Amino acid sequence: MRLRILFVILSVCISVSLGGVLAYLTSGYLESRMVPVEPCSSVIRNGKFIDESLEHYQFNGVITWWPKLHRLTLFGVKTDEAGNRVFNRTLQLKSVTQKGNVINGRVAELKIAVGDQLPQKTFLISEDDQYINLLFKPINKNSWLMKINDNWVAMCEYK
Amino acid sequence: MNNEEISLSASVTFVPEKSSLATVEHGDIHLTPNERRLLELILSGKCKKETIFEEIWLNQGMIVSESSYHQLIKMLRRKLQNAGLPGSIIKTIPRYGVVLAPCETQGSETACPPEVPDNAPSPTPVDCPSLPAITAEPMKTPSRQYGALLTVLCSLLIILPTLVVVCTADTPQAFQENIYVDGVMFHLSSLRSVDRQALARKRHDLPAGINNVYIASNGPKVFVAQCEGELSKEGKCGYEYYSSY
Repeated sequence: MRLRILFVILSVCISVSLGGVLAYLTSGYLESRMVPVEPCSSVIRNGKFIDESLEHYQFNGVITWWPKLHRLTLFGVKTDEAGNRVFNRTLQLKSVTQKGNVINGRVAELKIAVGDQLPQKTFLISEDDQYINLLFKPINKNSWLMKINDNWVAMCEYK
Repeated sequence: MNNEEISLSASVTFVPEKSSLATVEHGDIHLTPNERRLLELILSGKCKKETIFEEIWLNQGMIVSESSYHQLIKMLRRKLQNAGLPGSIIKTIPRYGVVLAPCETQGSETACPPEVPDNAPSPTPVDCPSLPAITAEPMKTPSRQYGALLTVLCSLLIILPTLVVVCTADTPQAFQENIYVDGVMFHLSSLRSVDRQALARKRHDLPAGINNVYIASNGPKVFVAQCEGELSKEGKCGYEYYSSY
């Protein structure tokens, strides 16, 4: 009888542990589906924006989130009173964490490509050593609505 | 033990030669060598646990755990049940061994007669006049019921947490608010600062064929998708990005 009780207790304990592990894995899987796991891009054509100097400019370009590399890349043309200028920049993030559909990190380095024609201090998405938050809301299995900090919104689609 | 048939009840006979239980209703039920040996030992009156261990395993140079002993008794008991005998025909006596239950029912006879040497004459067939009639279906033992209950309980404990996680998982929606304006569905990321008149104006300016408009904002920036069909189903869409201030 004691052996039977021990067996029952053991079975229940193993089942609870298995159930917990399974629930944890399922939760992880569901959470991973809330954000893109492969590179996704926002192609912006004729975006009519206002910069930090309150000057109007037109944005034609691509913003890509590289989830496995923890990197945001921006490539395109900024058109303002100074004319058309190419930008080609990479924001390398560090201390990247994910909670639900929000990815948080800190800009470790702002890499400016040789061909970039914008002044070095031009603020596009974020500056060096600043916190950055990416919020993703699924539209379908291949695209998300992506919000970056408090001033960018775009649709991000798998490349 | 010789190869004589031993009657266990009116309709069940143990046939050592065939290593089986011959029944009227269920035909022959095969016994494994160990099950056969165990039944022979019990019928011979060698019912002590140590003797059973010795006769079945130790003499063959095998050392087994007590669970093997219990398992063997369980299996034999199950086959006897399948033959239509009650499961209680083999009774486990704690710290002793097993006895053949019908012996107990016969007045002053001992449950299991004292052990006799191997060269002694073979035991007489066990007569079980008090055994109930053979039942057509195998009986459900309490241990089977407990086992089934435990299986159900364990399955629930494994599946339930996952189901709770799946059911309570909150999947954020990109466009969770919908407003229908004159044949066009406006899908909004938020209802904050929604101006119905502005939507009506927007509706008026839409090209023909557009039936879904998606609007999302974050700070000053606004994203608008004008679609023929649904954005989530990759309908044909035109996109607009601008700063509202």
